[in-house]
Amino acid sequence: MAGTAIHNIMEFHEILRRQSSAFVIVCALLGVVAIGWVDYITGWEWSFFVFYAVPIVVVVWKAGQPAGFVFAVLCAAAWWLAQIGDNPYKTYWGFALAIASRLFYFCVLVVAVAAVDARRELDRKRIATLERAQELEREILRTSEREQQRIGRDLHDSLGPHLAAIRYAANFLADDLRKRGEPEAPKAEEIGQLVAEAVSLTRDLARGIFPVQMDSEGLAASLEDLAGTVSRFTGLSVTFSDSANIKVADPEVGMNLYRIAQEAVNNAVKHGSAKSISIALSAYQGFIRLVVADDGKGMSDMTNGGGGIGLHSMQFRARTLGGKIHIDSKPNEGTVVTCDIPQASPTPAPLL
Amino acid sequence: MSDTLEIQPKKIFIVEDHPLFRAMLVQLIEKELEMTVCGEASNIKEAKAGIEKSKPDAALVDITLHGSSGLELIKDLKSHGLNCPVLVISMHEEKLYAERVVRAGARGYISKQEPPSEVIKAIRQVLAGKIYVSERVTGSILARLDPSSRETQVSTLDSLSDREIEVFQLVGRGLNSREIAERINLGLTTVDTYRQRIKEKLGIKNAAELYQRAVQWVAESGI
Repeated sequence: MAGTAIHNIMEFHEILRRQSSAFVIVCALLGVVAIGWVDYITGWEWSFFVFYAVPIVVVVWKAGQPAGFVFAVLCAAAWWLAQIGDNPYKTYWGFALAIASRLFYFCVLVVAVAAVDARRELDRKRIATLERAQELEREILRTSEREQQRIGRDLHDSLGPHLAAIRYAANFLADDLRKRGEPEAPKAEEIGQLVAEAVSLTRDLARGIFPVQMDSEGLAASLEDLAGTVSRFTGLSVTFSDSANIKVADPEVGMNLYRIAQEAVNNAVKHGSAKSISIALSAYQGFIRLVVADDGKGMSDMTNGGGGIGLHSMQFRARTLGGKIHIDSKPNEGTVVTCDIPQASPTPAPLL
Repeated sequence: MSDTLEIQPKKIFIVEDHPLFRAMLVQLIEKELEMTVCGEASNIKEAKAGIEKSKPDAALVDITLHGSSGLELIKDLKSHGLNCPVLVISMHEEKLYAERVVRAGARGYISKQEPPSEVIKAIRQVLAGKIYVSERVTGSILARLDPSSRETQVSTLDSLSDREIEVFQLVGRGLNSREIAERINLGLTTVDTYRQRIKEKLGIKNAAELYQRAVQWVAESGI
């Protein structure tokens, strides 16, 4: 009950916000006159005193505290005019005191409404600041991802082939020298070999910086690569499977899903003391589902350890894609991280 | 020797967006007597028009062309009825892409890291109507065909009841206990009991291993 009342007041407040100040003040003035008139034509037993509060509150909301005080005085005057012919007060002093106490009540009302309003304005500003901070955080993530993507792609698509071309040129030179029987042929070949190594280095660099390629097959390929790399470096059994042949057209979705998988795998390796990890992509009820399961010691240790920040960033990325993360873990039962991302073009979920 | 000179050189079409690397490929192919470059393109649109016009015996195609994918080109050529065999050349890791491009309809995959002589070898194989992938890739494909690892697992599933297999399969498709319960109209605890029994029967120690085995089984049996 109280909830809907507050809601209605908030809605009324919202409607007021959209009206012009002059219009609201004229309405409030007419309100005072109307209440005063009703107060006048009815006997003093029928007090309409409390209704003067309505125009005062409205004016404070719309035009601020000073205008509120003016209206408080106006309402006190209206009340005085309405009661002047017909009132129970025996003496002038009594009547004057009644007016003064009415006026005091109106003024307290003005101060109270203004205080509540200021508080609410402050809350609104605080929420707006928070939202801006979160939007900024998201933008920073996006920008750094975009920058990494650009550098990675330049390395992969520009420097890599360039070096590969130089390697070909060196090989051609070696061939020509050999045909002419020149002794420098092996040296040219050696240059070719060195440049070939530079091609490998470039590609590894590019993959380290930005592992997900642009095409729709990229995510599956990158996750497979992640499984292979982690398995090689740690000696754990890391498997990848993609039963539904998932294609991700949006590189932002691909990148974020990859980073979530990477984070989950890292957590399993670092904190979970897992022996085997499995990464799987599947489709479920219009969602792309990424599952990273490990057989480590479970989450109870992970949340207290260094996993907290990783967890936060996984959740943040999932929200950016309009999806959610669910972590299922029991001690000695391993951890299963499930991330669902809508398959259709995602809109970021509200962060609050 | 005189015979080979009389034979018309085979026409190769090159699709590569990196100009320097493309120039080197042209040079490489032109050095061989039995092949010649009949056209070049740096994007999918030019490539389609060029291949249609010059009717090459084979095309050498890069799969990353300014954001768009050469895989699309392979599929496009197929759908246009152009049966020009495609050898994909790319910077990508061959172990990840070789199978994919062959599945998409290409006749081979070679990495830009390979020496130029290997590229010529690959083109020759493709011209001869064979499929080219590096020995490493062939090795890993063959290793996967090795039945000794798989069959043991599939056979142990015989000990599961139909309901248990159903649950096992849903686990493998990424559903959690609650979702499985909803799907087959069982209580959550019943599903957990099934999972427990599957684990006991298959000698699985924990949830993650159960998950992993189930996912593998689904992927392999294609259900």
